[in-house]
Amino acid sequence: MSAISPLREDDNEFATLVRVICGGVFAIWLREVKRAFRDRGQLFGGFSRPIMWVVIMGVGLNPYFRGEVYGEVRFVVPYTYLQFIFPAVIALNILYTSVQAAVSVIWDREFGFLREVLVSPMPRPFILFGKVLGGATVAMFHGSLALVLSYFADVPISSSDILSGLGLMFLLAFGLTSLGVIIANRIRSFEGFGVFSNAVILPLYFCSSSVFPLDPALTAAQTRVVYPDWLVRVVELNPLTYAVDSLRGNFIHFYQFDPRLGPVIMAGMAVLFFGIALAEFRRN
Amino acid sequence: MIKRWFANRFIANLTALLIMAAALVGANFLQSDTSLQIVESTGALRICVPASFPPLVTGDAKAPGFDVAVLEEIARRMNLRLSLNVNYLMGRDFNPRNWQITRASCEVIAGGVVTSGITASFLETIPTGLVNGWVMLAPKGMKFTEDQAVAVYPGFSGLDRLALSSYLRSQGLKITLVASIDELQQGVQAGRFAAVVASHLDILRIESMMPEWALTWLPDSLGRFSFGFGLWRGDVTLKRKILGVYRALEAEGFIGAQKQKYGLKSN
Repeated sequence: MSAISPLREDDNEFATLVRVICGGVFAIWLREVKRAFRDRGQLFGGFSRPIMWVVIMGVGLNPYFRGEVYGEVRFVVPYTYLQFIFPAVIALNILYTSVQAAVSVIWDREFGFLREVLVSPMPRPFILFGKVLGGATVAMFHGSLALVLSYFADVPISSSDILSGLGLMFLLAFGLTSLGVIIANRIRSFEGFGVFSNAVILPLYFCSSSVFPLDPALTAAQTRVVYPDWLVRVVELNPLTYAVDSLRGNFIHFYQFDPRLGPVIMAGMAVLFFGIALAEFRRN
Repeated sequence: MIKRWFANRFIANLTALLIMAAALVGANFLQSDTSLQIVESTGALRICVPASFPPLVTGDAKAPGFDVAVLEEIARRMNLRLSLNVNYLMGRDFNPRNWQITRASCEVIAGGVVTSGITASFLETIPTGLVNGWVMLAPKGMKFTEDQAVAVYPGFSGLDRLALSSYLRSQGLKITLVASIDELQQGVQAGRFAAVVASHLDILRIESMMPEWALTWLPDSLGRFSFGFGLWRGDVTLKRKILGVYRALEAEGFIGAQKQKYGLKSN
């Protein structure tokens, strides 16, 4: 008996530690989520972006990609333009919200909240984990808002598509929120963060084959006849390309690249960016 | 009162959230294109069909074929007139671009439209559950010997004839080509052919005349295609309307009755 009791004490200590850490992570996560839902500007962005991109831009450009002559293929993707950009708009909403969620790091630093949290007994990795988890949850919610327009875009979605889609969205959101924290760690002002984050978001989005397709039926050499070499290279090097491709595969079952690449690259992004964010978070 | 109500932060946030959610949901009710509106304004649904592709298009006014009969009923329920644009090049020329069917000719293409991924590059498709491919009709439990002739009717279905030819030769069968379904039927009745090979749709026309014979699908590798109606890609509102009426007809048993009338089977 006497040999067992110290183990039990250790077990209890471990259980208490886990409970405290989980409670701490939950509190930070909840704070991020609550703040995001009270921020009407951010919410407005989350709701308005799908409307702007799917309803306005999608409908506006749809006639230029429609069928005109029987047997003639003008737009290589076997879907309408609305269906093609629909998954990319999900990625855009996640991209904006994830990166913008990291602005809370600047807020917390500015108003002293971060200092108070950092002197608490919570290990720093878990503080950052709670923040990133909160940001990723909000970003995933914003990404899923675009799904409301699936009827308009004529994208039939099953419940299994939604579940696997949410998993992919969360993976992408976690990596991008970590990227936002990396940016926020380097920029000290709100204004600077806004400008810099836009400078990251828009090029990443436009160079991810989100608004134009790279024809998967063409060879690398043929693709470089249609598009300039530098653009193809930028699209292929952009990790967001594979995230958009993965979402496209999930929702409209159309892949431009190897279907295994998307989840692997998104998981890699999540681990790498979280690791860098953690190293900088510890240093700061 | 209203000012105080909005002063409550929770209610104000909830109201803003509901308004934004309503805007997003409401966007689904907007028209995504003008295809349905144009058809309704002209009062006619124009369809491009081949001159003959039995039993989908027959050219007979009393029994116009499955595709035409169904589209006629769909048009009637949409308060439209069905206008047939007969294209004599359809199915005759290998390259569909030479058929010169454009958006200006018709809104719907019927009479043998294959609902494949390639077709989806330029058409929205509504599958009708009909499948075509090479089939063999032979007496039940028959074992072939080298001296028995198998009649092959290639028809105009667009199926891969070269693949069929290689397959039949690899099976060591003695092949006799026939030029028409009538010739096929006469040959079978005269006992000149031990079995017949043709497209599924063609075989259906003679299957009922040989109750002792059984139908067997040849391997998938020779090609098997689903049929449907084709609408121009991007015409989502028209497709949605036609699909809605088609599903209603299916639920009422109209589609099943037409399939029975034309001796068709769903796969």
